[in-house]
Amino acid sequence: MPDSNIPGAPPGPASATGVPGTELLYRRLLPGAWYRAQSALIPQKYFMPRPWQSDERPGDTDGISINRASLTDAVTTSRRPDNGEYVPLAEFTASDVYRIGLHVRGAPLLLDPSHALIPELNSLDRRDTEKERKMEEWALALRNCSQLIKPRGT
Amino acid sequence: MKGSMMLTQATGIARDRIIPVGGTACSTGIALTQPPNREPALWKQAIDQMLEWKTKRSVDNCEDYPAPDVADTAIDFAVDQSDTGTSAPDSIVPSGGGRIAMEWNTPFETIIVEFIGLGAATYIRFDSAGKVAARDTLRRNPQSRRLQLQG
Repeated sequence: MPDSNIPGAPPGPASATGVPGTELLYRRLLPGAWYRAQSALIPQKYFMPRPWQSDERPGDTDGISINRASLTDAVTTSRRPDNGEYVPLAEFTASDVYRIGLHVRGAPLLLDPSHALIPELNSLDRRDTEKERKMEEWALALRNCSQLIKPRGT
Repeated sequence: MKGSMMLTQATGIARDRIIPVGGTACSTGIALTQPPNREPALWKQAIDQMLEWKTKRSVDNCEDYPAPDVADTAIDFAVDQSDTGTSAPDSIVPSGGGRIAMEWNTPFETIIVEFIGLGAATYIRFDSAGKVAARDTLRRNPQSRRLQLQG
């Protein structure tokens, strides 16, 4: 059933998540990037799932991780849970995700209720050449509507 | 088109994609003073960064840092490109799973080379509409010792 309360949201899974199109989303970026210039675009690969390498290293099988701004803030999201390092974020809206044809699925964690996923961008589908090709285009589209933010001067 | 120029020389992509660094001014016939060539210095910065990732991985044991063989392949590629006077990319990043990605952007296309293993990389070119226009694998030529398209 389409959800008329979500502007721009397609029917089906997107609206079922209850993430309104106006909600801001964050994607934590891997640290250590080298940029030619400060004005450089966010690299497209930051929106691709970690690849499946083996059963022991399956990559991002459920999709790429994002955080919902309604349930957290940029500084908190910017902090890596594994080592406390602050890293840059990509910021975009849920309606950007929906417009591209992707979905947002809430996936709260015990210590991070804001955690969510974009399930289409997953490592299992990435093993299929044609699906990976589509994924590359989705990742580029997502990059193109994202804004780089640097909490705590990361 | 700086990225195309880099890939063409290195890999054998069609010659019609070649536009040398500074070529825009020449092709328009407008006499412009050439700015100092910053490319070798930019490549050096990028290579230093990749060397730092190798060190960090050995210290932190973080899987998101590039694998040593991947870093070696990307560094060799960067040295080759710098030596041939081509343009440095817009970004070089650890792209997850031990990989490294280099990206070039122009108003007309986006080109990404992702290093995935020893002597192996993928090449992808998007058109201005964001669609994949070309996709291929690069492998090290055992004779030239340079990455070349498999095409």
